[in-house]
Amino acid sequence: MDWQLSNDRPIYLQLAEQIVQQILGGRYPPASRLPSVRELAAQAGVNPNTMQRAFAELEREGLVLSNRTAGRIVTEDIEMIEQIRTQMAIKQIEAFLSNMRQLGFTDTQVTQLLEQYAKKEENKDV
Amino acid sequence: MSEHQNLMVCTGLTKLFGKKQALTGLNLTLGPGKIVGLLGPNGSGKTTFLKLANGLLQPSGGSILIGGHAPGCETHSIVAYLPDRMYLNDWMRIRDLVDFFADFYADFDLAKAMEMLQTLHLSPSDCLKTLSKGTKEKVQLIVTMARRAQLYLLDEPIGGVDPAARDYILSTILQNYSENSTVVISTHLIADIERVLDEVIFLKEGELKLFDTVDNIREREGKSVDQLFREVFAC
Amino acid sequence: MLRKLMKYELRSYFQTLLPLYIALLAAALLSNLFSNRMLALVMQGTPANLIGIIYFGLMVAVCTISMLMIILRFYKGLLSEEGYLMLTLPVKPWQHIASKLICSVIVLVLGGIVAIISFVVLIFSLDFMDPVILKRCLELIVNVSQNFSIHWVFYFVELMVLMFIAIGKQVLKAYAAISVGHLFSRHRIILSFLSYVVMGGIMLWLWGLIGNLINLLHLDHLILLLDPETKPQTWAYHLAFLLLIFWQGVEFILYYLVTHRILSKHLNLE
Repeated sequence: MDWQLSNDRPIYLQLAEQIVQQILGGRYPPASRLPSVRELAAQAGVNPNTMQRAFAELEREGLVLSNRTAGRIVTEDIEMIEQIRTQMAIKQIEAFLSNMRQLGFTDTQVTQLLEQYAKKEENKDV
Repeated sequence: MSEHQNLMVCTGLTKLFGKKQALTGLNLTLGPGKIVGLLGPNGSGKTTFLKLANGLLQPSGGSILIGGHAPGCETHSIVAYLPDRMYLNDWMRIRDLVDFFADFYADFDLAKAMEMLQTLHLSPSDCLKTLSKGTKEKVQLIVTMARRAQLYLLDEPIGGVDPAARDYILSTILQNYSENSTVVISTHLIADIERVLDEVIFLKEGELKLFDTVDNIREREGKSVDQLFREVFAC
Repeated sequence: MLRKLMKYELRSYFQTLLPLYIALLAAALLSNLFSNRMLALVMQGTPANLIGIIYFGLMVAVCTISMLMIILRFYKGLLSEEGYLMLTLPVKPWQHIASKLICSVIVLVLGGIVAIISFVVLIFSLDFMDPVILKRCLELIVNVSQNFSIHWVFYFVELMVLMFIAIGKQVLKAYAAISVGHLFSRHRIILSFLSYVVMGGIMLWLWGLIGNLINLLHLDHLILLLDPETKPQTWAYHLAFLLLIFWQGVEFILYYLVTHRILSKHLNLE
């Protein structure tokens, strides 16, 4: 997978976010084993210590568990994963809405637009 | 980190060339398990610092200790140094140089060196004299990185090689990483190596301007080390 | 470690010198063959002269290149680019100096032996197998063995020791001068040469001083106390040898100490 790292923020935070996205996206399902720090660091071309720190961040949040025998695994707590998924969705919506407001749309207009858009996409699929 | 774990300790390290201050009162402590960028424009004292750490120059003041010893026979056995110039002997073939390292360094990994040569398509039977400058640099880097040293001091390891080799070199450094060894990379090409670094040292006209982790700098400044470097050293 | 250093040092030397040795011996052999009357008649003398000149040139080359290499192996091998490799090895300064010194002496002595052998090859002729000459040689050997005295063995040993110490001292003097020269940031070669001359001057002055002291105190008369009745000159010869060895030995140690001090405490690689 491609790791996108921007220049303005700490690298470990960006790595942590992208691992979360991969978990939510189903690449690493609940209770599955994660690759080793060294493996992922080599893949992303980053320092293993930085990747370690990203994992520490995820462990602190409880999304990833450190297991002495099996290495690191994704939490089995599906509820928690769903919660994070919802949180991230809300963040995306907030960002989207604030952009739309800047373009002069009211929230009701935005909802209408979205419904129209969804219908069009449905028709396309058929 | 406890005190005795310090791999390198510089106290008031100063070097004068005549009246010119090459390094001024450098205080610095490096622990194990780090990849450290030694950054600064040309003439900022990077090479002088690395030569002092290898005993090729003597400090005019202050001290530098590696594993508790002043640079000398004891430190040479735990430090792998890549100088900023060609040290190769004319008559040697690549294989002779590899054997030379295997002969003198107990921590040299012969199999690893041969594997790295193969990856970079270098033939052990090639004569060093006939190699191009970039290829010579690769050979020198390979024999340095094939050691299992505690401290790697690399002076401009990515300066003269092509981007493909540069990527390979960086991945080699990352793969080589161990919790006991520290790698110091001097360079002015920061953007290329920023993401592999733990900590950075900024040298400006022989003085320590900054010593911090990459993530701390990004968190505090909201910009990359490369951008910060350009601002600090803007002409 | 000393053994390993010497292995690489000797390889560096003989990479260049071995072909020269072989060429020298070959030239001597060819020159000898072409000087042979039969061949000379056929070749009308010209090749013999030509090969003689080549032989002479090779002899000069062996001498100068050996000496030049001894200086360059130290200067380039430790105090220039190659020093970045050699001086960061886990090797002590005395081992560097010892390996360079021993190999230099080996090169000088071996060069001398090769030169002598080549000369013998050059002048050797079947005429030497003449019964008269062989008989003379035999007589000489018998004569020497009849007059054999244990002192001859001692003389020989003393001469050998003196020779090795004197050669080593000359090499160390060059090392010390180069080391002093490298302490400066500019004009290193000229300053090396200058320090060579100055060090020689200082030594001369020092020994002159000691010599004067001996004269002043009439210490030279002490020799008569050793064995005034039987063969005083024998003991005088031994004493002279020992004094020469002492003199060369002191210089040897002084030059070594200067070199060692600089390599261990004052390295200044640009």
